[in-house]
Amino acid sequence: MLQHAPVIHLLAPFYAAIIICIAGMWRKETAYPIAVTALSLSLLSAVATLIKVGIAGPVIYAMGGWSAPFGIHFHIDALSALMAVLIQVVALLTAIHSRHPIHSSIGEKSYLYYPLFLLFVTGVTGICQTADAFNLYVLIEVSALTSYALIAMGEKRSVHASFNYLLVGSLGATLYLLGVGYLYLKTGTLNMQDLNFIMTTRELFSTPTIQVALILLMVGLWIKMAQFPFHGWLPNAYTWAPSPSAALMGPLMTKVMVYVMIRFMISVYGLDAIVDSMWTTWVPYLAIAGIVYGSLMALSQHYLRRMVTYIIVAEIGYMVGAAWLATELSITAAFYHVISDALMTLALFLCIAAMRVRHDIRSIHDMENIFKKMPITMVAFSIVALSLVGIPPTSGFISKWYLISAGIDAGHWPYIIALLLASFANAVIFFRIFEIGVFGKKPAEGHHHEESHDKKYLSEAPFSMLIPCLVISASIILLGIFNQPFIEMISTTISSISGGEVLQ
Amino acid sequence: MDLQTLLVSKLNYWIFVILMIVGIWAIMSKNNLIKKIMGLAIFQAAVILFYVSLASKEHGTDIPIYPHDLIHPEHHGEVDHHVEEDSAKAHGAYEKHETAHHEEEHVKHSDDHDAHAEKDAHHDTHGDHQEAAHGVAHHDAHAPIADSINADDFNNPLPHVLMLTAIVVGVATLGVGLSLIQRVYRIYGSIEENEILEAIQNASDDGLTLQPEEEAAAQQE
Amino acid sequence: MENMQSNLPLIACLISLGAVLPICLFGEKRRNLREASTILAGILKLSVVCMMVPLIAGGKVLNFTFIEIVPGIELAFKVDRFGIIFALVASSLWIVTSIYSIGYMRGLHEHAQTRFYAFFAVALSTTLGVAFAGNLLTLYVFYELLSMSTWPLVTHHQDKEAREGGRKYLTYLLGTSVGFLLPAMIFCYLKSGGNSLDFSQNGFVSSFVNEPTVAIVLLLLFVFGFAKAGLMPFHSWLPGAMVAPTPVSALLHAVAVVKVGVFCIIRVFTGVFGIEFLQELDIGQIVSYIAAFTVVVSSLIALSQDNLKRRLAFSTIGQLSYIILGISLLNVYGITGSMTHIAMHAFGKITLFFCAGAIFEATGKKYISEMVGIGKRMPITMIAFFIGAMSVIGLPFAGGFWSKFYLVWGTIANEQPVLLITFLASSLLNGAYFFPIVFKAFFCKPEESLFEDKIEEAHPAAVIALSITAIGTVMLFIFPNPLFDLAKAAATQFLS
Repeated sequence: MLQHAPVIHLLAPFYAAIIICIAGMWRKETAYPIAVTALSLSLLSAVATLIKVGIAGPVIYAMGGWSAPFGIHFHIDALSALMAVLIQVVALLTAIHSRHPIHSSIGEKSYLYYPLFLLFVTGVTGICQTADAFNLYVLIEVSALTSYALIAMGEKRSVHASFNYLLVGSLGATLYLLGVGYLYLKTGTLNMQDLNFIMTTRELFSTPTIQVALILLMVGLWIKMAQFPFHGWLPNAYTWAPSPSAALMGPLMTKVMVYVMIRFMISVYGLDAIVDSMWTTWVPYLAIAGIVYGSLMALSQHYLRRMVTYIIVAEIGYMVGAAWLATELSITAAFYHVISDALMTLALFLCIAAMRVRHDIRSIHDMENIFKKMPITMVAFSIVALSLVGIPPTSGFISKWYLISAGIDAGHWPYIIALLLASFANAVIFFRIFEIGVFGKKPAEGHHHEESHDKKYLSEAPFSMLIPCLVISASIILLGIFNQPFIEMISTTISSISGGEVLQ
Repeated sequence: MDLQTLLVSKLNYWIFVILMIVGIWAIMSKNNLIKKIMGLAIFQAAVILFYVSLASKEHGTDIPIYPHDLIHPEHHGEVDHHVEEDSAKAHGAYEKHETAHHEEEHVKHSDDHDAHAEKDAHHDTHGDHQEAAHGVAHHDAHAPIADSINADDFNNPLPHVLMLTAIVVGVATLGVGLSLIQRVYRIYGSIEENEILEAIQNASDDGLTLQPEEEAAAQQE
Repeated sequence: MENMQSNLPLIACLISLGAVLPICLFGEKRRNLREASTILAGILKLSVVCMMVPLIAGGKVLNFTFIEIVPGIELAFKVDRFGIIFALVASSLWIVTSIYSIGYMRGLHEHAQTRFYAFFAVALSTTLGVAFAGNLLTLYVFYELLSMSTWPLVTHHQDKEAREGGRKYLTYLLGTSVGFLLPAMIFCYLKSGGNSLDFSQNGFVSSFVNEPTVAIVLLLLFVFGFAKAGLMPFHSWLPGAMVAPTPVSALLHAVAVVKVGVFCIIRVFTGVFGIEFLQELDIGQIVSYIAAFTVVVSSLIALSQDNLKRRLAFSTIGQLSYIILGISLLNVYGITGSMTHIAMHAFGKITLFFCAGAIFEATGKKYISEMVGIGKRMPITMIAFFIGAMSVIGLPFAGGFWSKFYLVWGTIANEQPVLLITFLASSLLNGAYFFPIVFKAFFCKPEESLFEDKIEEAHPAAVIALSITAIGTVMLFIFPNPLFDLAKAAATQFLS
């Protein structure tokens, strides 16, 4: 049984989706419990895989028993296993959280929401585990199609936003496909390790075909991860989506694409082929532009969701910039930031949803005295805010530490300055929110005599939304304090991949 | 190379590039949502055509289902050795990885055709049951048939297989896109982009980027 | 110097965190219990710190390690003489400030008192964290946590002024720490081979920096990065933070925030760079001149302020630069002087702030021009003010005399007449902006007096508090030796 662990967390959501479709036609209330059960099961399986990988090294699972390079392999090393665990955690917490919003907004057809949700999880989990480039395309499209539908279930504007996302996203995925085609054209294989092997032994990296392939792959992935200037679809799509969809996709979709980018950089091309090329010179500047743009736009937003989407754009800039500094340290930093940022984005979306549910808060200006009304949620929110600014001992501080270290190590000072400016911008954004949340917009009229009258306003979010918020905020702090095991796992994996060891 | 060779020998590339550009142009500049989707479809079709064009060879035919009808005994001896060598090189990396289900696949690399590799694979996602010549070898490890077939005679089936998947994906995307367009029409009463944007602008006070619409919390149909 | 594992630093640090729960639970309804828990926590804290003193005076260093947070660096406490001096100052003054707060906050019927006491307790925890920090990263972590936990205190009044003061506070503090300090720290970490950022005898910068230019830039990044020390031009947050209630100002100026700033700078000089290294490269001078400039300019600005708290704020900026000047002299007198001045100034300044708050609470007056003749109404307060002023100016009968003495001696030992003149001139300026207040308060013509002849002091708790600190100041003059022995031993150790 355990030898099939790598596929359990892939297939459990998949089968659960089918079961829910059928069971839901009979009884609608079964959707939520089945979804949560399936995701819990896959979380266990993902953790088991992570432990196995941590002890024994990469796990190879051949789908259907066909071996590479003809069969499709799941090659799960520490990076994939960590991503798988991350995905299941995000999905499980979002699923738990989704009970209230889905029932109130979609209601009757909620049993159709969860299958899409679970299929999306299947898609992204598969992306993180597959070692076949074309299979990756298929799974990208699986997750993308479900995401178009998940987004379109929201407010009225979401349909149009989803349509634009569909156009741009499919464009990006097709460019990716084209890139894979160029790679196939030159090497004749689709398996990632085999690609690396063939390209290295035949010294194909300098050929125009392979270089153009890299360009196509990267542009396609940048479109999908919303790297500036291809980010246009992101703000609208995530602003109008239903809150569980935004909470599910915000942390995952873009970060999984960053994972794919890193995977291609280290496993398929290899750091040696990339370093000292035009890429490492110019892409960090693109990333810097993204960081600055995202931070400035976030500063100017009033509407909470939209502000978070621009923060996502800026954070993607951090990751892309670090990754394309192309040193082992920088890729470690970028990957740790993937995990850290996914958790922070999830926490933001969950807290914002909690605030919306009870007090119909959509914009910053609605947040007066929110600390009195929803103290527990705001504690969670404050922790996330501090993490985004980079206050120790949260995970945001640790990722800033590593990102700045990577910048100093590579000597790329503009990148470091951009990071610091973005931290500062985040501080301005969130302390402005704190000011409104604690003080209210209008100045207080002198000293208040009692504190007890504020208790009337206390109206916390329902438990199903509150618990995930707290769990995530706690994990942000824990990930920060206990970051060593993760960092070690990540950096050992990256060194062993880049060490020239030709893996099967 | 001179212009004529450039155009003719790379014809498939030219076609797909032009189609791609047409598709992207349609997505960006057309107002009507359906035309945008058509542009996307054209773009995807271009990529599919490109892949399929990679697969064809001069005088190549499709791989028949029962290849042992075509076995030419005289090729057996020399090709055997050549194939063994190649497979050893190609699988150098894979030697560590022997599972219980290890199949013997033979790979012949032909360097003349832009390093096309001849691989006959059962693609899991596709579920295609087309048995390649080598496929039969799975069940008969003693008499590999691969060495008796000349790869140059047959079109590469792998890109075809991949593109069947891609076509399915494209159709699904088209379906989602069209249903979204239908929804958009129901909400805004138009499928022209400029009219939709106007409707959005009218509904919210400050234009596109700020406040949500008042009816945002309404039940979805 | 022998190392010893101990839980005492951790306990001392966490006591005030532990007090947060009872404070929040008791709340406004049972405020006597709430205040009692604060004071109890303060006494406990001081006792634990006192327990550590004999061990440390005997030459031991207490260690406590948490966890390795970044490869090669752990969050760790390492308490030495200098750390314990600061811890003593902070914990003893917390008790007094809590007593004062009871008087002040209740006297003015302030709102959100529970929040006030709770965050005060957290701020004290983080202050002790800084005092005990064993390496640069731990120092940074607690430094940032201190900024975060004092922000709600600074913006306590929740009005427009408070908001702007709070913004300025954060902008300066976060901007400098994230912009200067963090890169400098990471740079040191990377270049030193990622081994450690421990404060060591001779600093660790010397292992990778040879030329003076790089060292100067790094030093300046650190010095300006710790903006809590109020060096110009990053000093504006301090007058801006005066919008806070007076106990908070007292905390900021005397107990915690600014003292943390100069403490960190002294740590940087002695533990990160190492005095010897700095002497070799002779780069202490630049910091001396920046500090000297700050001293003079801030004293001049103080002269022009009519708002009492603002005048005190600029006075603090000047005094902090004394401390920085002292350390930058790089000799035993200077270092001893700066360490002891932390304590002396703390007692003196807190007295002054307590008096300012008492005046506001009793009469509602904020401006010096309105305080003519107030000595008749609040004699105890104004006498305490006088004592505090003497300490800050550096006159005999107040503790500040001794620390200033050492600082001046330090400039003589270095044969730097410019700095000597700076000290003397600023003392004169200090007198110029303090004495008129006292003089006008007591010795004015009856018709000029704005107050009646009745004695009507502030809330008793407040008066008790300021009397305690005033007496403390005098005590420090009469019995300076325990403090000075500790400081001198620490200084010699840093120099050897």
